Amino acid sequence: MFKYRYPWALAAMLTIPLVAFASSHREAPNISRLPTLDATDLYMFNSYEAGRAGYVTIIANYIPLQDPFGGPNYFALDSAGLYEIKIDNTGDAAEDLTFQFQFTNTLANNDAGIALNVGPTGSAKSVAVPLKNVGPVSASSSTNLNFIETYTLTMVTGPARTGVATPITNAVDGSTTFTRPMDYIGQKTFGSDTGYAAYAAKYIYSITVPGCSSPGRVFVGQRREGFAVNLGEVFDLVNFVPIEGDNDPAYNPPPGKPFPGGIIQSVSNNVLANKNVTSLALELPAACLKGTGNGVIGAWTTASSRQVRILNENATFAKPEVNGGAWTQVSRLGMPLVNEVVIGLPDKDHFNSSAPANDGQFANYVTNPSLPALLNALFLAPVNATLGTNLTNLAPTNFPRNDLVAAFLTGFKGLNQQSTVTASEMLRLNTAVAATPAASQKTLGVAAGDLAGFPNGRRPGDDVVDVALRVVMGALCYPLPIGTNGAPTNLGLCTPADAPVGNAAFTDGAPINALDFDQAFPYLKTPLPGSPIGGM
Amino acid sequence: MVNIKWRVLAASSVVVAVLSGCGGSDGSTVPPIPPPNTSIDFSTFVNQAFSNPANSTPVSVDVNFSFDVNDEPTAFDALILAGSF
Repeated sequence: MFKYRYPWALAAMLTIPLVAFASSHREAPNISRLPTLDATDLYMFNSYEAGRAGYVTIIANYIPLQDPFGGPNYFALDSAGLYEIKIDNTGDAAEDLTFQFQFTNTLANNDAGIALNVGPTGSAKSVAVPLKNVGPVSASSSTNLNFIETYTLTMVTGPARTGVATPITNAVDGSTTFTRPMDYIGQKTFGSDTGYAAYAAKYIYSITVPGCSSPGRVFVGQRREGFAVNLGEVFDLVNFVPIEGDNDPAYNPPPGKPFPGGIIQSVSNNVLANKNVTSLALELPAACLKGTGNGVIGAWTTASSRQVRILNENATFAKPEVNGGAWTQVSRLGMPLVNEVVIGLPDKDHFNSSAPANDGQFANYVTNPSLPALLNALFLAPVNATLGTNLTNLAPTNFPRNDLVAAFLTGFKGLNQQSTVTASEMLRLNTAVAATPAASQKTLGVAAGDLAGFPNGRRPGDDVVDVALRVVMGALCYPLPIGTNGAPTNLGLCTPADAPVGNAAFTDGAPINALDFDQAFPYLKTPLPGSPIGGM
Repeated sequence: MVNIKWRVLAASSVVVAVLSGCGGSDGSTVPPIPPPNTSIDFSTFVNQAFSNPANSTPVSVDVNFSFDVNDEPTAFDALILAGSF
């Protein structure tokens, strides 16, 4: 194949540092030690479920790379952690609204757990079972669950730590405690995929949001991993040719030409297809999020732990440790892939502990990115050999990379830029752009003329890996089909001369589209079962 | 080395035993953050970090401790005996 035909390229690859493309799965050294607090993906889009115009859906995913069979404990969130979704609706790069999730884990029977009488009649002993369920669980009965995970949801207006905190309540009964469904242990426990879906759907709550006239919705629970990426091959020094090798119209729209030896779209390239993830999903009226700004909102999710943790040398279920001190942020995620392929390894954990308002410290990573230089080193010789060209550089040469500044730090004027512009990394959504129905969505989003898609927010079906690849290699230096009736439009950020391969159909070959997902809240699909083997 | 280990474990044990419910209450007071690169007693540092309210600003860990635990294996004794938590 391609890599063997060009051994010099292989030699070059061996000298190049690792490049990682997982939206934010284990992307930094420290957070990889804390998987329950590791944010993996953030989605934010104008709801496209029928009848939900005027609502915004925000989904923060945590706990990466879950094998569905990961029993007997499966994937509870951190009861000592603080999970937050933050919204900036004024453009100052500081949160104006924060939605805080805090979890409590309990065992049945007041933390004693479910016990069985074991032994002969008369001398039997009551012995706690080692499992999280002792029988079938369904939408109508959860009495066989030995482990219950609940959470509270709080909205803070103003700064997250000093603003006004108000509980969000169940719109039906006014309670402030919500339940997270047990992970999909398997089909014997839940009957079938349909049975699990019905069980999990019981835990979609209608919520009353302070100061908001219409109710929203919340769901926290396990979902099938929605991120698609050719992860193993990418980790292995991009062990494929990352340009569309076929004429898939979604990835290589006319008049694109297949690249000789380029990768071909295949679901088998998505190694996350057999994984699950944990979603914290909110759907809220746009009117309650956009404040007094121009309707563009920025969002990011964070996870924090108390600063001091003292391990209990005699750990119990209720007290494995004692925590104290200030909430200390350990994970941060807004735009996908930023902490993977933009921020340098020495600063990844620093980025995770930082706030958008201080993103000036990371500016060099955006204005002078290393990823295009890496791709150039990996593929310049093979590209020239394949095409018979004499290119001297594949990477864009417009420095500072104002095209990337717009994509990652400011949003695009007239689309998803706030009226006050503070360069900072967050996911920006124009709440006034009408949602595109699932069947009509373009997986490459704005780059394909679908203004309701990434980077104007992010929908589950947006192929952010391919968009990011193309953008870092200079796609914004070429006209995009975003004018009237899809007319090519020059963004004026750079020129084709700046990006020799900016019009190439870069891809990791792991396809995704909106029809891979549900078309109703919480959109991400029912998780894969832990059993039977291959039960997907 | 063994001596240090059991002393640290003992410290954790004592702290856990007397701590329940202590530390981390939400409050409005934000304790001062130690200036960087200053020398600070270990127990003072731990006391301050642990007692900070949840919504306060985390303390900087860019500090130098006033002793080297490897040179002074009894350094934790004061922390254990003080019962200051």
